Amino acid sequence: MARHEIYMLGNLRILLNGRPITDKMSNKAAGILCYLVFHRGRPVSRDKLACFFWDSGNIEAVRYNMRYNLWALRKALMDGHDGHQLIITQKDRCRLNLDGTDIYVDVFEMEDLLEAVNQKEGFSSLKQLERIKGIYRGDFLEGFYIKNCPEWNDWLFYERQRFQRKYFEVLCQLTSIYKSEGYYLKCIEVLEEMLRHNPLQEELYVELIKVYLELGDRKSALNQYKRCCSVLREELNVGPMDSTKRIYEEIAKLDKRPEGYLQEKTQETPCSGKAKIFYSQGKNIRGDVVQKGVRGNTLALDTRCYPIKVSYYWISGLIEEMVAAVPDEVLEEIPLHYWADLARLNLRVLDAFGLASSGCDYLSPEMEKSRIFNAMLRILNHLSSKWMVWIWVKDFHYIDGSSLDFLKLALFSDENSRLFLAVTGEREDLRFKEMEKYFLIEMLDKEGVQG
Amino acid sequence: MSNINLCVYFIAVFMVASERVVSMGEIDLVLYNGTVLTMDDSSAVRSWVVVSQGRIIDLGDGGGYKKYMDYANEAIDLDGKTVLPGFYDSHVHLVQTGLNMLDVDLSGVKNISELLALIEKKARNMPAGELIRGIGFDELHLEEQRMPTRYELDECAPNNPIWINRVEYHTSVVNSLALHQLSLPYNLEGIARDERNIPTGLLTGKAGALVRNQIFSTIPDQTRLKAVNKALNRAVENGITTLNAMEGGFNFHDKDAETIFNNKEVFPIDIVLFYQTVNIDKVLSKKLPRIGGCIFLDGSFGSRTAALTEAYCDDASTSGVLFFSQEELNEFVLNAHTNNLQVTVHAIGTRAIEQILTAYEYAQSIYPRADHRHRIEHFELPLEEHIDRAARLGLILSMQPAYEYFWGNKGGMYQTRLGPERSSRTNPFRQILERGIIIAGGSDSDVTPMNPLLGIHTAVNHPKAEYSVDVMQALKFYTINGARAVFEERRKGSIEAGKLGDMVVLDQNPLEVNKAHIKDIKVMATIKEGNILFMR
Repeated sequence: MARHEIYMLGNLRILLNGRPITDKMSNKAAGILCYLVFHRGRPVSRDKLACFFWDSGNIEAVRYNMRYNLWALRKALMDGHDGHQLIITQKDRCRLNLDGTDIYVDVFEMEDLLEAVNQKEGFSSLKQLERIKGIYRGDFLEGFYIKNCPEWNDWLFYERQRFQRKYFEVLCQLTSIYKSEGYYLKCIEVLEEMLRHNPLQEELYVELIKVYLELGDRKSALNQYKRCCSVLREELNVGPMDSTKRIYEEIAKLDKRPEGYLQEKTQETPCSGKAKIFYSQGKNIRGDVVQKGVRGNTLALDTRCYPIKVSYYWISGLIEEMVAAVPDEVLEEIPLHYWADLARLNLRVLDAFGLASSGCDYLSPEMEKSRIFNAMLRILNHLSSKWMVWIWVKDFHYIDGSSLDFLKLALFSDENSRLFLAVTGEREDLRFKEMEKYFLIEMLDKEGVQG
Repeated sequence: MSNINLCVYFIAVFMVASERVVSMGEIDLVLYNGTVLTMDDSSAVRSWVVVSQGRIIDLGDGGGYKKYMDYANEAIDLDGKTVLPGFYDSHVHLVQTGLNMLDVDLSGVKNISELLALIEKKARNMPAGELIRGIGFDELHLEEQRMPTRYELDECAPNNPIWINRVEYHTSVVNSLALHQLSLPYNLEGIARDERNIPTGLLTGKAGALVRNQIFSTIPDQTRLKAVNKALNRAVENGITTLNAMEGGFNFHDKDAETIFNNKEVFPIDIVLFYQTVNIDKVLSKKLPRIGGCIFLDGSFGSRTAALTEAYCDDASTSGVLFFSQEELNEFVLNAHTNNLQVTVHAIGTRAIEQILTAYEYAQSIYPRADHRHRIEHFELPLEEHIDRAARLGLILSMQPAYEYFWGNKGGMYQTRLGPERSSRTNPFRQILERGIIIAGGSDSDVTPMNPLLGIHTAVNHPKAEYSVDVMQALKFYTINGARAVFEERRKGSIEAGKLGDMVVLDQNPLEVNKAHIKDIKVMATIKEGNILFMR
């Protein structure tokens, strides 16, 4: 923690040794500080500052106000108390003394990160871009208005636009990287963030549609199209562009022949034509699978569903099983932040990975789902790169809705084509029928289940 | 049961009812010694009417009312005045009318100084921080021929955000405080900037739309309710007991519709909500029987955006705009139609009217429905062929006769924009009635005032005499036809036993007064279900 912390992205916050002091100074004193900070130690003319904040009609009054506000500012900052003077004032100039100053300013960090990003390419800049996204808490000096100061306000509007433009560029870069690297759920998260800023940007809906299609989620892709049409009609009274309509028509065609579409999709994967779900009538599915010839390098994860309606309950059980069944050295190969996302469901993850319980940040249900699914997918894909992964699901007819959604996604996006389910349960249940819409379900007593 | 038997049955029921209430002393109101224009099928005229428990229980001639007098909570000697069914206004933007009544009206300002003075005066009477909305502004009427700048607005009301709208709502200007408070994505199209790349406060296009939406979403429900009640007072003073509120959607805000929907039980008169959306699920989830209103297929003649077949007379560069493709409109109408909703949209120019007729024909060809009562709002410049097609489809035309009062005269806006030939074809009421089509009269408030008598006057005194209608027909626009246009003719729209006691008392009889003076007739009282809401 720095002695002075100044946050200008979002609502202005000035901290001294961790304690907020923004309320201890007038708006104009805070404005003077922001302007000086912004100049990063470069001197600023006192006349210029005076013009920013006071009507220059009465020179003496302006000078008095300047002197008073600078004094009040120093007092609030306890400037000089540690033997170091932060604000240097001279007869006609003021500046911030950054030499040896223990100060953190968010806009400095953002600009430094942007410079670092400019010197890198693509994926290598991901961490910096994600950090920028994290520190941009809102628009530059949001909510900080000083009346009767037209020049100050013009400066503020100019800088606000500039930072926002850079932020949007960062978000664009992030979506591009996430998409190219297959982090579709993260890509969706950023696109949604961009839409929150500008719901009228049709291209963002088009991007969302494309990402959902990459995920094999046509329903969500169609919903995004409908959402786009609705927003454009209600806000601008226009329909979507012809190019957007053409994308919709393509999806709609696929929607009319879902089986054909799924065949097309599965033909792209190495497991084309192979069943991914196997149904056992008995309770001993592990024995059934082994009996039927599954051999070789196999990881078996044993789970059960229960007749309770708790979202993610089955996934939570699967997490426990993974932690128990997978060797530690393999688990540790998976980045910690994925486990941190799963800790939302199962706190045993915290113990297993020595993660601190910092409390989860609040996410919308959709975003939370996105984060959990993304983490589970990454982990399962990692495991299936090493083993053929068999998940036994007993009493599948009890599985909760969120977990069912995840299973569909996992089977669709099985990168290594080495993920299989073996299930028991009431075969006539709707959950089986739902899976049958998309996947072939074979009886385990059939021949040919090979490792 | 035959119709005649049904009539006998209902009469018997009400005779029994009237005997019962008399014996219990539950008469709300007796109006007697007047001219009661019942607007029933036979256009009967009576001299008295009795209301009990909100419904008309008896009416007649001579002294038949006397048996009720001892039991009446209120008895009014009309002294020859005229009673009509309470008026319908079939097209009102109620929330926006009310909000505009709370706003600063800038339609009369002649220069920037006058504008700033009006804003400054408003700011003096408002708490700091509260938004000042200016409406009706048209810089073309100003000496300076320009919008005010952000800096000028800052000076006249430094403590309040300000939002000045051009008359057509597509362009606005804000002061620095408002610009500061808005969450604008600065990459949005329509943010005007000066040579330093700093926003000037002028907002058009997408930026204008986004800001409008943001501002309307921040207006508290209480303010909306206050605005609605103010507008309703005006409606009641003009004899209106039922109005069709066109709310939500583009150029408005869905919160307007939600306010009406959530408070419909508390308003003093009946408000029929038309939710202006193409989202069928939204209205179905609210169990509303209808959808639409001003879903803009085109714009207006005033802003040269109504869709014509040829260019505007005073601007050859445009023939207006269509906001929907035929395919989009067909899909929407068919979807609403097959969900058994009543549908209506805004169509002013010839091309827009053509488009909606085509969409209705398409829907009916796929899913024929009887008595759908689909409507077209405005229908200002139809072709003869369009009137025939509307008749074949069984449409109801929701029209605004007062447009002709303000724009239809020689040298008026219609003539300026459309030229002599086309302006001679606007609002052909008589030709429409001759095809057997029902016209429901409305004001499009606050485009024209909520004043049915002005609409009746204009329909009778149409600037193009060949399109004028007789007084009885014009009265129907705002009474029984208004009821039919929202499936309420069995409960309201005429003065008959069993219907609601919604009535308006006029100082003169429109059937007898010189037709040139119909607009001068005064509303003396407005009665809703036997309760006197207004009395002069």
